[in-house]
Amino acid sequence: MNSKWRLRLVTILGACLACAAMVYREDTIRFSHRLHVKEQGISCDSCHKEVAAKEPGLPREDTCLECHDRDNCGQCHTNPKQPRSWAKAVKQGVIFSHPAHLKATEGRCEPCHEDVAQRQSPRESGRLIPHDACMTCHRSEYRKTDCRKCHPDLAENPARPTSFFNHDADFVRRHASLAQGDEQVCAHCHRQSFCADCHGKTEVLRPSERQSERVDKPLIHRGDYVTRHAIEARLDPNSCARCHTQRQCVTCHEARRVAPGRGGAFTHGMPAREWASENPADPNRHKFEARMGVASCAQCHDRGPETNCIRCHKVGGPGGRPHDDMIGSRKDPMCRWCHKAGGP
Amino acid sequence: MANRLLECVLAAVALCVPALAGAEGGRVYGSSTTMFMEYQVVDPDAPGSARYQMPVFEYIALGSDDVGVPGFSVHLSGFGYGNIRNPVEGERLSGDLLVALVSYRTPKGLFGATLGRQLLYTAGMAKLLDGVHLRLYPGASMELSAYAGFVPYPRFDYDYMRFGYGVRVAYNPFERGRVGLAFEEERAGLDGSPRRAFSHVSLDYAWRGWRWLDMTGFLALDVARGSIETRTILTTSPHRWVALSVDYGMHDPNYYIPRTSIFSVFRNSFYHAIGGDVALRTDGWLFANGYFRYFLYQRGEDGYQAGLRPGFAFSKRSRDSAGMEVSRFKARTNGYWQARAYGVLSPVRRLDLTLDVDNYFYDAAMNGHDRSHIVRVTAGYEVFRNAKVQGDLAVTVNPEFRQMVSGLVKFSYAFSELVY
Repeated sequence: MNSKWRLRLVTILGACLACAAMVYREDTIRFSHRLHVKEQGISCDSCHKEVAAKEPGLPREDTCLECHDRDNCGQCHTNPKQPRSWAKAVKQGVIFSHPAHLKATEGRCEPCHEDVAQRQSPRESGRLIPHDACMTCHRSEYRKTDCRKCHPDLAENPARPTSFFNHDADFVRRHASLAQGDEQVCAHCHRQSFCADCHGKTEVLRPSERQSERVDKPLIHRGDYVTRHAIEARLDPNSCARCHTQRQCVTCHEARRVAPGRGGAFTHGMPAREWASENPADPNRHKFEARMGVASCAQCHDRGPETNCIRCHKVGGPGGRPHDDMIGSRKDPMCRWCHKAGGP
Repeated sequence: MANRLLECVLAAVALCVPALAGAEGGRVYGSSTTMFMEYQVVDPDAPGSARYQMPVFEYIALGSDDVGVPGFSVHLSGFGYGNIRNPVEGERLSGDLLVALVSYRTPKGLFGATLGRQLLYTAGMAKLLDGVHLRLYPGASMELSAYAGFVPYPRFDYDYMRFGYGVRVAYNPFERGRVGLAFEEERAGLDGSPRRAFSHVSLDYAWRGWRWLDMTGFLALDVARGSIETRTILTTSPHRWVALSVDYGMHDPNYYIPRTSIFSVFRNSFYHAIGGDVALRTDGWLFANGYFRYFLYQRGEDGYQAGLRPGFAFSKRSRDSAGMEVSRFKARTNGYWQARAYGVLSPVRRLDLTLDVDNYFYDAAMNGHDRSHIVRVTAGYEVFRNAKVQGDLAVTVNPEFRQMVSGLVKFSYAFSELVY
């Protein structure tokens, strides 16, 4: 079997898996808060019987059967032949007392569960209370970023970020600006090893390799990054320099024989003559690229006179004198590459 | 050498302090991930052919929070790897500490200190520091912080170890926003002739004047050379399903080059980036994300990136989902289209299957090839709570390899226990 057919086979198998996931239906419970609460006027504590004394959880099946016929399974179960038990209440790792809050709201559920009586499906009913609802009363804790008062152990039981802490949109791009001044907020949920998973300066594996099973996460450098990294580095050179060290680039380029002086076939993505030439009529593209992304050049070439610009750009060299006027004090370290102490 | 010694001392402290302090009302946690991989690399001794490598990776993290002393934390994480087949450049064994720190925060959070190897994000740079970072919150929403230590892996100037320090003062009424002013410096060549590599003054800011609008960003200036790096992002959520952001940045590649480098002769070569992002996450099945960013360079050349990532969640109980991604990157000299599809399925409890089909089509051929294809299948099974075994198989066709088959087997375990 040749490679084309192997590729096609894997693609077809993948498509089958995807279809199977769409066709497979699990049993769920039909339940409408609107029908029970709004239309039939049943009070919350008729079903959530223990809410005022301890945590409510969800009503047991026995509670439903006080009104519903046990033999008519299909009334509530979407797949009565393979019934599943009702999901348990989701534990969010939040310090919360229903009895204490019911005292504060004088027994009313609506201040927190604002529109629960309108909800028609378990999916809607299971929706978490938005963070904003808590903020109606807990603004002082929010202002002090005292998350632990309600979320004692966010590192172990992270709540889904909501409102201000929303990690949707382009959070990967945005998170640096937030972390710079509010790192103590990040630290509520994320330990430094979480940051180091991507920012580790000597890390060998990319996050998408270490977490290859998280195909649903927008991890950077996914896929064939080895091939396309040169394109993305030219598009936004500072996005590389912001995190990566020279060592990370050099290690890989040396291993793959694409480092200078290693006898490799690294061509800067174009014919060598187009990139750098002693003939002034040639494009000499390297000078424009250096102006636009010098950090990319330095990743490989900033390793002494044998690798950097002054190998060619020197008085008498093919590149000529690199500057026309006095660009700084000769005491500057970079000037000393050519202008030795006490010399011309 | 001093760096390695410091790492060893920190590692010893990290492991011993919780035990000495005694177990009282805290948490200890840890994780281990072992990965056996096999993949091809281009044979450096025979260009045009490939050979297999077989590295073994071990990642370990250990730590404790509030054990013995409330507010006291210890954290250690690192990795090691060995290449048991065809090592390149003789690099058979390697590894490093990623983070190794002890930290303390007073019960009311007025003072915090972190000692050891830690990550800092300052003046537009993610930086690793072997040193100390102190934070003081005297009240009235004021913050004072300072750090000093060695920067073990500087960005450029390959062989230098740098000494760095910085101070920051900020006004941070969190709910309304924040403004901080920082000064920091790195000095290179600590062999008796220290030289200034960086001197940065930076302003970081956030504004949350209205509940529906969030602005955050920074402006950093290299005072020695006048290089500026800045970015501002506006985020809003007109509906709880929708998040929108718009960002603008002016970037100067020279900003990251130290004054000690010959490359610092390149001046005033900034570029602009402006773009936005929109995210949709409904209560139901659909979620999507789209982005566009335009880059304008000093010589009038430009480039852009754009993408759309719709997805469908099949179940709220599991990660069962499918999605796709179409993106376009266009740089000055080359560009590509990406078309990707993925799926996650848990057919039975504890078993997770994933499929990822990723394709790239390049504008200009590289090594005579103008496309890449990667198909990866993973299967993970939770053997017992927090212990998982996973196998991957991937087939890659790209300009570097006509065809590469790679695989991995991964064992991971994590624990987190409350101790009293």
